[in-house]
Amino acid sequence: MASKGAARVRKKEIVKVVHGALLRTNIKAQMASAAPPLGPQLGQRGLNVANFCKEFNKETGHFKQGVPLPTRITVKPDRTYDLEICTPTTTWLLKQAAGIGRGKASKDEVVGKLTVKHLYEIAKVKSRDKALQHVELEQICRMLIKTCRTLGIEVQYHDLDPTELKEFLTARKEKVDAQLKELADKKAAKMLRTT
Amino acid sequence: MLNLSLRPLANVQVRAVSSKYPRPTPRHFKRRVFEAALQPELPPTVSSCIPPGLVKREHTEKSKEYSDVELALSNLVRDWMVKEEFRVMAVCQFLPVPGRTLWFAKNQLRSKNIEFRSYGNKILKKVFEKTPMSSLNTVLVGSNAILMAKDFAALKTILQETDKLNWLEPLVIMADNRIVDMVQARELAKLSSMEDLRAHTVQILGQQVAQITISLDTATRHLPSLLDSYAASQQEKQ
Repeated sequence: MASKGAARVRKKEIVKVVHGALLRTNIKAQMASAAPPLGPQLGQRGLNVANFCKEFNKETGHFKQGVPLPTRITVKPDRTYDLEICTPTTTWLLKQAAGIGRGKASKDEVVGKLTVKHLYEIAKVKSRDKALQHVELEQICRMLIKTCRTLGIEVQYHDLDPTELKEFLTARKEKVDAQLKELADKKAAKMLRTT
Repeated sequence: MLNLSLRPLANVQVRAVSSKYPRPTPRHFKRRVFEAALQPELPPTVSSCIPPGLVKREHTEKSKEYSDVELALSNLVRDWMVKEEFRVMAVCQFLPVPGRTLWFAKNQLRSKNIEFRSYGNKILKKVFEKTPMSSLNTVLVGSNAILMAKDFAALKTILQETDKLNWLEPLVIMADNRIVDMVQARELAKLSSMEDLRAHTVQILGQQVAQITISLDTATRHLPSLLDSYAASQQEKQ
């Protein structure tokens, strides 16, 4: 009997995770819900998820639905929070500007084309962020160029040729469709570990 | 009879199959002879001793050498400093701090025209090489960062801002080509403006000039009366 009791005591060893005060997530505009992954993240920090979602959706009313917004939530000890909603993610903005939906899948793949003018406009949008205040516009542009490289977008100084771009985008669309089809086939054949 | 003859064989088999039993040491002489006969013939190995401290010395020498990337970075930093025409530089002790805090502090400092840079001591020593700043090498120990400003009045701002940040402690300040220690810097920061100093200097110099004129004037003024009295005394004697 004694051994049984000891075993029961030994069994339950729950390690409590101590969360930091800051929560950084990307939430889609007007689409915050209590479903995973956002709900449990907030719940673990002791926030009222329903109220948060309501407030977030109200705050992001001026954005198009589904735009990924980097959000910084500072949770205070009394379970109140400070909500900081930034401008849409750089990758999303760049993809939208380039008219693409998918980044590069392999090395040296060119997925889209942008000019420095596009980057300048995106930089102006991004400079409104709290984290990028007082950062020089040139510095932000440099960051954007780096992100473009990660995405596989080619940045050029001269203006884009519309006909050339159209041809490129059509060819690219075919390639992406083939890639997605291959991926779907693999998933169907259970070759990928999805869980 | 059969039992007796099989006993040692069985023993050997037991020993051979199990690793639980330790091998007898020293090994049986027959085994030793067998191993010696099978030993491959190799050239004799020459064992060399590493002198004590050689590895450490090599390591320190290697860490003092500059790679191409480091040289390029130091050139870039030097060119940037010259191009931007910074007048005030504070070398600070830079303690570990969360990245987000550091980023916001950097932006805050930039809004007050102070540039925060942390390149590492090796790069900074190379940047300051063959310049009057090379005397700052003594403070470049441990983790350091530099604050740069274009205006001399930023000295006060640097002190004010670093007082707010507990992870940044200024060690020495360089104004133009002069090294100012922290006591002096705090005294300078107490002044409302650096123009006060200039006015003060001009005043001191003006006083000196006025003093000289007065002293020269008194001599010239006294001369006639002295000569008169001398002449009068001479006449009396005659």
